[in-house]
Amino acid sequence: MTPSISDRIDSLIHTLTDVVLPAIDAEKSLERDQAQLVIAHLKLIRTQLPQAAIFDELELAAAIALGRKLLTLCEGGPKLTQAAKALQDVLASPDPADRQDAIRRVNAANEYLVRASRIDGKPASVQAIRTAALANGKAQTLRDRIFFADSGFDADRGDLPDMATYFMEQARNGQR
Amino acid sequence: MAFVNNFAEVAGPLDLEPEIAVVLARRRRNRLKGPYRPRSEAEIQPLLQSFMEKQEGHARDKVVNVARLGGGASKEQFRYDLVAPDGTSQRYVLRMDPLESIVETSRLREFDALRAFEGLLPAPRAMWLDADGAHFGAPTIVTSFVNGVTKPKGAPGGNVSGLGTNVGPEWRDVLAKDYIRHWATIHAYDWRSNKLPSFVVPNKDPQQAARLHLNWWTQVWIDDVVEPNPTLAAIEGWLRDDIPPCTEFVFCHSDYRTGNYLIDEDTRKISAVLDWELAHLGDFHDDLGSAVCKTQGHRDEKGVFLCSGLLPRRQFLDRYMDATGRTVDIKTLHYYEVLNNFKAIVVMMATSHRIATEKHNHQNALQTWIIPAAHVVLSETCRLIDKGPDL
Repeated sequence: MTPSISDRIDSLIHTLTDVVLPAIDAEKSLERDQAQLVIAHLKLIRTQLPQAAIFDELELAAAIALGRKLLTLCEGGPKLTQAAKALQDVLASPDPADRQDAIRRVNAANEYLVRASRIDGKPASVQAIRTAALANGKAQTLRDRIFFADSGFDADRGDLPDMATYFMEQARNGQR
Repeated sequence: MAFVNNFAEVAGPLDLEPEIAVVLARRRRNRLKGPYRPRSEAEIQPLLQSFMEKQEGHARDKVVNVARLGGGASKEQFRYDLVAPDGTSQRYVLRMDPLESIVETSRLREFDALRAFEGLLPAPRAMWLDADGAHFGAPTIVTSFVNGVTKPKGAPGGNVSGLGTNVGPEWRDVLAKDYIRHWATIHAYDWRSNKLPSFVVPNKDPQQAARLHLNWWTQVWIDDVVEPNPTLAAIEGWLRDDIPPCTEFVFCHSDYRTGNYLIDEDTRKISAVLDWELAHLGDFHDDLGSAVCKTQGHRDEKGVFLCSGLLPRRQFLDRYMDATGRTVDIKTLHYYEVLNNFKAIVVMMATSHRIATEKHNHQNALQTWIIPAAHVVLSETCRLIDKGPDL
């Protein structure tokens, strides 16, 4: 692709930094803040871009794996059974043509099932479903924290692995 | 949206404080409008002028120097000068709801809270209120203007909305003294003899305080979710299973942290405690749970995590206990830490995302920027539940 997406983002960053931002009155704090955030967003997107497709693949694979796990843990009344049936239907056709929509659909069915388990799930099943969802959260937030480390919110970002290395390793290990 | 949001079916009945229910219902109506265009200073000036003309003793005053204020992630803010016929002038701040806000709250409650603490600690003075937006078109409060900065000159930094503000080592000790002192004042407030008309005393049963708080943010999640999250539902389940009883109700500020107070660089004191919009009556552990949250602090030069960027966790809790005479119960603090994290995740992962995609806010770039902070809090919450109570 000529010019590449990265090259185009770079030129946008330069234009905003060197032309647009200096032209905004120093008193216009909201406008300056927003312009600076646009630049910061573009820089972050620039670093994420090479890993974005792998990231989405990993997210979808994790959502599907959680869904399959949850189905094995369901024991309870009609509400939980109905939620399990709905999740089964979604897993049967997660529609990977649009990965982000697919992630939402699978996770919506997962979330519904976690909630439904509290209505009429057997206590052991409720606990097992919760444990599985929390374990999934740990893995998911590790990926998210690595992917968004440059946003600067993470007090422990120094302990996180390098993004490119981590995602390449995950992809190589077949965890997608 | 690629999914059907039917979470309300399985959320059960969610009783809310009446004023919170009003606010959330108004937002559901606002969701049908938009996109939102931020108000300009030229649009605000005549609205302010006609508003001031209706206020007792100000009919002949002139509104001048209207200027937008930056900072904050929540409300649209403008400062202005009000010039009396004799030429004297006073500076004020107008805080107005955008079409949708990162936290949808009540200007009436903010007004009541500021009035309650007038003279007790440094805070802006609540002046005038347009609670339902009859005049300004959106709920609005006007307060006095207080000089100060959220971050001293030359301080190392922080992120948007003052999150993780690092005031630098030379300011920490001096600010910590004020910071703790004001904690004691806030939690000593006598809400029994001083009316807070828009607040509910959650004393229907011993769990009502925490339950109302949990219901509030559960309802917001259901209304706002863009990316469904089974882990958040699991955390909510954990919170509902073991709600601690509240035996002593205090006034909870709910967002008292570095970045949400102004610093007078000359006197080296806190000149105003800001952002009272999330205030409610509840357990003092509820407020402390917010103060120790991971995104509200940072690591110091030696790698020690500082609550609110001022004190290590243990020291913060010890100094709070010394100042208030209260004893922190580790299990209750643990519960409220998880509850406050739940709230923070809902706000950043659902509401910020939703209002940015709806284009209903004046700072859409900020709203999408702040979302990844939720991943940090969610990760920490999973760790907290795993680990259990610990000082």
